[in-house]
Amino acid sequence: MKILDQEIVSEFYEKLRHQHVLVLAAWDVDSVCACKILQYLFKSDNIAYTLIPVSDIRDLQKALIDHSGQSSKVVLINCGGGVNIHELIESDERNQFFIIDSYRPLEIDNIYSPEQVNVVIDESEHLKFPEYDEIYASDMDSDDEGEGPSNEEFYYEGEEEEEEDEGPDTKRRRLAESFQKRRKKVVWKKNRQQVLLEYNGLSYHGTAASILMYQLALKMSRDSNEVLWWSIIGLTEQYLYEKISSDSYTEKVHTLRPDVLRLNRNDQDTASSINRLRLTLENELPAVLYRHWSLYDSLSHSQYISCWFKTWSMRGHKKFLEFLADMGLPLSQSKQPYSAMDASIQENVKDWITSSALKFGMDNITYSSFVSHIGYKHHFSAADMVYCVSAFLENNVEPSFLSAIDVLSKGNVKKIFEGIELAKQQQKAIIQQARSFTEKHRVGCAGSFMYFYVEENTPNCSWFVSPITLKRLAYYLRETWNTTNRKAKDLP
Amino acid sequence: MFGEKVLDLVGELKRARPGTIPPYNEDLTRQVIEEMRVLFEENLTDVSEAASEKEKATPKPELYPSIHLRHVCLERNQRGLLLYNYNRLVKLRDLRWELGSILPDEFRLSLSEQEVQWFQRYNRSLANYMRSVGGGVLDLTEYTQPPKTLHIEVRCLEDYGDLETDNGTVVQLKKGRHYYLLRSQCEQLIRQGILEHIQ
Repeated sequence: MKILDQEIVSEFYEKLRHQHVLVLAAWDVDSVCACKILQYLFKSDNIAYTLIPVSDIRDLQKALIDHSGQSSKVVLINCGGGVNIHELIESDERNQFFIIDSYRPLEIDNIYSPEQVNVVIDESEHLKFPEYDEIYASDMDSDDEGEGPSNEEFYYEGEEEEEEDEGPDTKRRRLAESFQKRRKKVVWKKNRQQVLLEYNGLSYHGTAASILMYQLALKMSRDSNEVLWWSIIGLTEQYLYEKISSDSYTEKVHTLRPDVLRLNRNDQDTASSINRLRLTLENELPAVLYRHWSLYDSLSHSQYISCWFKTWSMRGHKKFLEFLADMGLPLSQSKQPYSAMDASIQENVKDWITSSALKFGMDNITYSSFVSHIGYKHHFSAADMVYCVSAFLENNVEPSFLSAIDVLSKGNVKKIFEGIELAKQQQKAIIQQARSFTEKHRVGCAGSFMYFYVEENTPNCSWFVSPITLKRLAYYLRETWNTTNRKAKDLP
Repeated sequence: MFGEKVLDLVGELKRARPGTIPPYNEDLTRQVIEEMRVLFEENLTDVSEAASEKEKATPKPELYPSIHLRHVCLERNQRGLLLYNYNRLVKLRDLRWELGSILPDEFRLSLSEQEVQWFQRYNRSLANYMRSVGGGVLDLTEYTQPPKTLHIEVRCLEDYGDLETDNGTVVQLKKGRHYYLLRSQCEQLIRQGILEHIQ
């Protein structure tokens, strides 16, 4: 059954009240943010819950089976949308599933399942589902389907024998009828295949789970700066890890902008309002963590810039330095930590980079994003937080969903810096690995796919155990491939 | 000089690490009291002299400053002693709330006899009070802060198995999971180290 975002409060949230809820969350930044919002709501409504992070489908199945007899309400965040829940477990009649999944396409069986499985959908996405009749046969047809053609024939033959004395006319009519019926069924089956193929053909991502959760909070008038910030982080993750296109990202940012302005009106600056979380809209550079790194490192470690200049080659590196020189930024300053750069440079550096980038042929490299301020000292952009949270999720020593949740808690600045350091290591590992692949020409091309092997026992390989980091490596390599091989432009 | 010993005494208490009680310094206390006794007797003679000579119409105003000085010293010593004893009692009371009714030996040995007696009496009155409120089952020392919420966020540190809650639902406690449960059900498990309370 689908639940549209209009009725998310009455159909989804109200049904969770007064019960122990089981929350299963996928292992990514968006679901961490969505969890955080849901936790906040549950906390204010005294709803007891169990939160279990799941990393793959086997985890999910195991967790569901473990808890099948215990909680009757199960919320699945960013997982379970693409699989038929009924097939996954023999669930109890009492269990009720709510799926909030940004992964598309959603499994059609979940959409058309009765009460038990509910999928929360954002209406603005204009998802088109195949009609029920196109996928599921009506009673009569499905009976036939079950028995198979040979049975069917036998059935008709038997009938014929019985009613032999009815005369040839009736017989012919019956035969014609049955042929027609069968033809209809073949056509229907073909059509069904076609429709399913069209529906399931492409996989992509829809509205972030955290955005949906924000809408839920908004509808219940429980929105606050924190909740908004978490949903922004979830959205930014989708954009940074290329789950959604920049168009749909901009569209979503535009819908969130009024909320940001509403919650951050410039009131009298009292001491208490300084220390709380404030959000502002800012244009962001495609540079990784540049607020907490040196500008040189940050630019050379970002995917877009480093691929554009091909900084792994000598010539490319020179060109990159030229780019810095064109901005009028002394090398000694650019190698300083960003916060230690001259204040005048800090103010103008964004404009310089944009204008020099235009000169070098990159168009429109900034994207609009949000920045949070805590006190006078700490500024974190949404992108910083995404890298920080995912560093905790993908930590090569001890990946931990729960510490990723902790990072988002209010006033946990120390942990954020810890995460940012981890994220730097992670980014360095990705770039190094990609560089070594490109230098050794290790990326193979097979038809419309490209492939590479990450060998065991290489120094960075422990990072690439986790899917998100591996994905980022792959995106990076694709980008380098695109810039180095002109022929490959049209490849994915 | 007068008043130095009592300063030592107070200083000794102040220097002690928080949460501990230094041994009761009976020696120094006695010395302070001795000092006070001497001061008092000297004052007594001086005062009687000054008072008695009034009748002979030759008062001795030169005695007044020294009487006054001694008196101030006396008062200061008294204040210091009271401070010493009172603060020890405050520490002792805090220990009662932290550690319960039976004191570990390391604390017991550093108490004076009177303090031990006081501690026992304090125990008794606290127990009486707790019996009179909350139907006699409330342990005030466990709930020093009024709970703000009915539920608390906890994380499981080791596999425990099923926990049946008051309303009949069964919650499976497994390592690395996050729960939001009734405070009353978790408290025992938190003390056992199975759950961890997240602030």
